[in-house]
Amino acid sequence: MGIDVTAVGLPAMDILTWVLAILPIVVILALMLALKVSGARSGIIAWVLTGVIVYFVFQGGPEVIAAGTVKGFWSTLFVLYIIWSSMFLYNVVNETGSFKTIADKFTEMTNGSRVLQILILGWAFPTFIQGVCGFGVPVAVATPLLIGLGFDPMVSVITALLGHSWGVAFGSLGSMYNTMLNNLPEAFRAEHTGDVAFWGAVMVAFGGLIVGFCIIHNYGVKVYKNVGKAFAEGTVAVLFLSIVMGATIIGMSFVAPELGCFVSGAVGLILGVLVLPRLGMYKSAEGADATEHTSWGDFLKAFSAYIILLVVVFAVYLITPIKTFLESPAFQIGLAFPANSIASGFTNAAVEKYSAIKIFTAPGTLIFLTSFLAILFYKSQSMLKQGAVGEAWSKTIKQSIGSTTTIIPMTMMAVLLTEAGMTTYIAYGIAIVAGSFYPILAPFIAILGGFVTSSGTSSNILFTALQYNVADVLGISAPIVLSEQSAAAALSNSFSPGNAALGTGVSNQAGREGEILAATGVYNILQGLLVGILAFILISMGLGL
Amino acid sequence: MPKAVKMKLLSVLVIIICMVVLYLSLSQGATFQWAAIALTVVGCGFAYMNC
Repeated sequence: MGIDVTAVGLPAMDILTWVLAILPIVVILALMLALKVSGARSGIIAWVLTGVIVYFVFQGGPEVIAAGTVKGFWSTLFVLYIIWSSMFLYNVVNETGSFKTIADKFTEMTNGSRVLQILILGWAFPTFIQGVCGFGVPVAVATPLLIGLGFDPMVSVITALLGHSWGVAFGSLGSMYNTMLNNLPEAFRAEHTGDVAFWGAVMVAFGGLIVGFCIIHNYGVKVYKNVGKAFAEGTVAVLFLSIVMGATIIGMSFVAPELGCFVSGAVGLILGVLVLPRLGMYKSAEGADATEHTSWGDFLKAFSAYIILLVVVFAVYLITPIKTFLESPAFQIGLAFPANSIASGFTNAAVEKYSAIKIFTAPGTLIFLTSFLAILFYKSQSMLKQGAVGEAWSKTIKQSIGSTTTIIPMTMMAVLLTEAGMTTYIAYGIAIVAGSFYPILAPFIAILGGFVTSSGTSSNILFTALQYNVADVLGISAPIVLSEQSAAAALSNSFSPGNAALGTGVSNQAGREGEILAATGVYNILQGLLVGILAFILISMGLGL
Repeated sequence: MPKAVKMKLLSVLVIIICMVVLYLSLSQGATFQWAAIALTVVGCGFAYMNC
């Protein structure tokens, strides 16, 4: 059918090699989900196994194993920086006792409806943050906030992971979307950029609808122990938010796709707070009368750390001259790597600054800066006791070290898989066997990329060209297949070991990554399947050509 | 600080040292690279025992 894996320098496709290529992923899932082995130990075992397969099956030399491992370690520093900084910010806010004030006010605004709280703060709010910043920050900010409001830590992590994921496709001011465009042939891009944006937005909006129901389902299972009750309470709110946020993101695809996530998150947040509590079914929720009145002044003081964070993030990311200056090459740290290749020819080019960390605009820097400003503000208001900052730092070390030891080996394993071409090999195998059912399986290639790299953008870097080429060979709509890549790669952000470890890190639940992946894995497979079926139907109708 | 936390911090430190050696080995020959990989496996073994 014209899909030739040897053309990209990988070994000829055969079933045994394919099974061995995917074995490390299967092993890590089996260890964490079935055998309840900790994420750190699972990652170490999978890294060793990957190294053995790289050497004996894909015939990568020690330079491939060493480079893949060090690149993986380097990539973790960016994520760990976010975890440690956001944990510190959370502990500073916690030391002031502000979470009770925030919880009281938010309970008032939502008439005490816990379902509204979890949908607005766990879905619309992370989408809003994802629109500008991304890179794990929405999870790092929304999770502790939900916990502070009294939600179960695991419900909070899973909600934030699901809630921010759909918007990733047009989040971070369009970084993932632009990555996709940059990986497409020039001629196709010149003619079909509008189609890619539109169909991508349609598929992402559909993904958003599924995300809303997944959040409600998870809440029903874990809190009510009754899914029907959660759906009875939450369906109207989910439909309302998914319609306003989905319509906004589709509308923005005609104007400025890069701002789609940011604007739709803002619209969802504002309309969610202003409209939903006024609907009859959310007017007299249980607990509405039990809360004491909290003044807006007290609320703003308590919430000030997060307001400072938004101001800092927006100032740095939205004021172009500041961002350009702070991201100049002199302020970027990255390691140089020589080129390497496996025996069949798959090559990784030499890089001067691999995965450069922009030290002044890295999310970790912005969150640490926010923590410092918040400490000054809280001290000026006499809200921090003597020694509270030291106590916050001490708690941060204890809470963050567990996820640190988990993320390092997992990312070492994941990047080594990619360095040796094994991730690409797995994706080609799926494409070859799918045939005319490719649209149904295409989202799972995107999910695979997101799973091993913990990044929708990286999934697009890995697989945009593959998805386009397969669509071209099969003669089906490339914009719709690419929209599946966009939506599924974004949604996979809820189901990746790196993001699960980030979630457990910021919620002090280190060691429970397997439980998170077990939940988000089921949701992600369902999301991928539904996105695939919708695309299959659209393509069967002859759309998108 | 609890001993478990101290041991995890030590494990991270050991892995950092292994990564520095592994990175330096990239500009050397295959023998040095294999030695660095072996050291990293031992370092990860230490982390495995403490996590």
